[in-house]
Amino acid sequence: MHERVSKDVIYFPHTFLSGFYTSSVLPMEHITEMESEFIVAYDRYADAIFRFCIIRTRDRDVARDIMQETFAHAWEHVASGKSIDRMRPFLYRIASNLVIDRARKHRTLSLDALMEDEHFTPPSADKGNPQDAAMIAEMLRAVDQLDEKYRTPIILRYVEGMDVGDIAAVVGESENVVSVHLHRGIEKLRELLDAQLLP
Amino acid sequence: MTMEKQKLEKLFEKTRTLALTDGERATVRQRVILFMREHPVPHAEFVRPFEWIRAVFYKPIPLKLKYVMPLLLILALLASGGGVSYAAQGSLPGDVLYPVKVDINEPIAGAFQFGTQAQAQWNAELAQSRLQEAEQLAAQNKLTPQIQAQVATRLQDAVAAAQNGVTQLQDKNQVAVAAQVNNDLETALRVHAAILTRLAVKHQDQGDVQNIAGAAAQQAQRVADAGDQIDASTTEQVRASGPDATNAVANKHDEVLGFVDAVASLFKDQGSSLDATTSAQIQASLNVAQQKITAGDAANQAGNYVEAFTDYQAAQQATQDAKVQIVATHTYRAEFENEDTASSSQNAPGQQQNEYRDQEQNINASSSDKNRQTEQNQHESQNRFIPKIEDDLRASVPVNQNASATTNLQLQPNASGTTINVGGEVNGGDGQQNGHDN
Repeated sequence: MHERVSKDVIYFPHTFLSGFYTSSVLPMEHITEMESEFIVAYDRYADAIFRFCIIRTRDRDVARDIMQETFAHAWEHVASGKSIDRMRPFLYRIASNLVIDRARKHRTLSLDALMEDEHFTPPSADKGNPQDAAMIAEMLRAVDQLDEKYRTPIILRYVEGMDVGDIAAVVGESENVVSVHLHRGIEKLRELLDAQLLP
Repeated sequence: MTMEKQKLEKLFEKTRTLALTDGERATVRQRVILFMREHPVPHAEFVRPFEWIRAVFYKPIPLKLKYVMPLLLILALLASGGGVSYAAQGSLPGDVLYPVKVDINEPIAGAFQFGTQAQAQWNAELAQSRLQEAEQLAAQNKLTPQIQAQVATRLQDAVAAAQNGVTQLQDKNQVAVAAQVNNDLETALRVHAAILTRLAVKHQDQGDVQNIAGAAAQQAQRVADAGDQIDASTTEQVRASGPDATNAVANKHDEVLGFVDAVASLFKDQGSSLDATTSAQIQASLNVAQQKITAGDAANQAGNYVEAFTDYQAAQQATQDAKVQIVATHTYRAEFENEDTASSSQNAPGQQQNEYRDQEQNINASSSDKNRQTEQNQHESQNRFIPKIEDDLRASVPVNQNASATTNLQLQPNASGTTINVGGEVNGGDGQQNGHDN
């Protein structure tokens, strides 16, 4: 199973398992090479993209939908014959844009509309013990306070372990700018967490 | 300070544990696969998501490499174990893989066409393929004079080969078959010539496209001339066959009637998506077919078998004309419909090619077999994005048996930590395990 993990994939137990569980289910009788490549990409990055989205939206259902839409967009891109240099930054870029789009639209969305949707859920962490959940919730609150320009690089770097070059490709900035944002962002995050913890 | 850092690391680490449940992951996966199926890749295999493959296979052949190419192609074929030859199927003139398609794939496929009739039909098909390729290129504004000359030569070769087959069929006394192959070829050439002309007008590069359209029209005329002779000998044969003529005419009658039905129902289904000019032409062709059938029936009643046979044959040709128009124009309906949106259809022809094949199959199957068409229409009306997961949660969707274990949907636990199970039956082992997982 180790050959599934290439060097650009961060190796976490659950992503490892995700590959294991899902690759045993191949419901298509006939898959083209390209389709199977794409499905492999899904198995590899679905959790990471979802995580990225849930950190940004703090809503599980919305995060899942954006993750799904991210892969739909990516496939449309592939299917239309356009090329993708590196799948991982590409997916994050789409996801990031979708999250931002949604945030814009969301402002006009009334609370009533939200409550009508029976699947609207407050942010919650699903795994682990309540203590972990509390820590994650704290982290998400802090990240939420960050400027957009710091937020995405911080998540990609410190949660997903992505290198600066790839992050630069996602956010469309130079590597230097990303490095500066990372540095300032982490300082800012520390301040925020301190402020929340100390009182 | 170090404590802070550790604390931060710890927080990041905890955040990393955020993940989809197995159920969610599998459901979205299913959705993504469904989406992929509804948005197939034009010429799957050929379009690859990696830049280097495009770089190697998509660029036009530099002239210097002209003599190196065959060697490279053979190497590529050997290395890929047939993948390249499959990939070449979707290539167009000017692509690196196009020579593989026309010089390797097609001759090999041709070698498997047994019998003179199959050979003749195969060559007629090749002629049609050349014109379709020209249409695709014209629609993409990529029909250069060189390519146009290349297509014209290949078209001429294919038509000559098909006509050669037709002559052989005549020699073998299979005159009716010869007439049919010849008529179909003529119709295909004529209709595609007309479409090429329309594309030329649309793209205003009259020079090139008109040339190839003219070449197609010229070939159509040649084939038609040959057809007149064949028709003469066909009627002669029917006349000569005496009492057997009744059978031949009756068979022809049934054949034509079935064909008209099939094409008429295809027109009913697809007609709305065609432009007015084409629809009118198709309707006119179908009307001619009906008139000819009526005339043929009358002649048959009167015992005038030769005339009846000729009428049925004319009806068949008119119907074939309608069929080719429906199928071929459908591919470029976007071109002819929205005169302003030329650029939006840049990528379209390839994809529509698949629809074209589907329709071919439909029509060749039988007139009653409409399920596929209905399905296809539904596919076309599908909205752009995948249905949201909520849709699945509200109504349990039929899922693949293999997938049922993992598509057993798990929502995240609510505050008290219980798991909500939605989506039909709870699957013993896996369902339970997922519940505990959460």
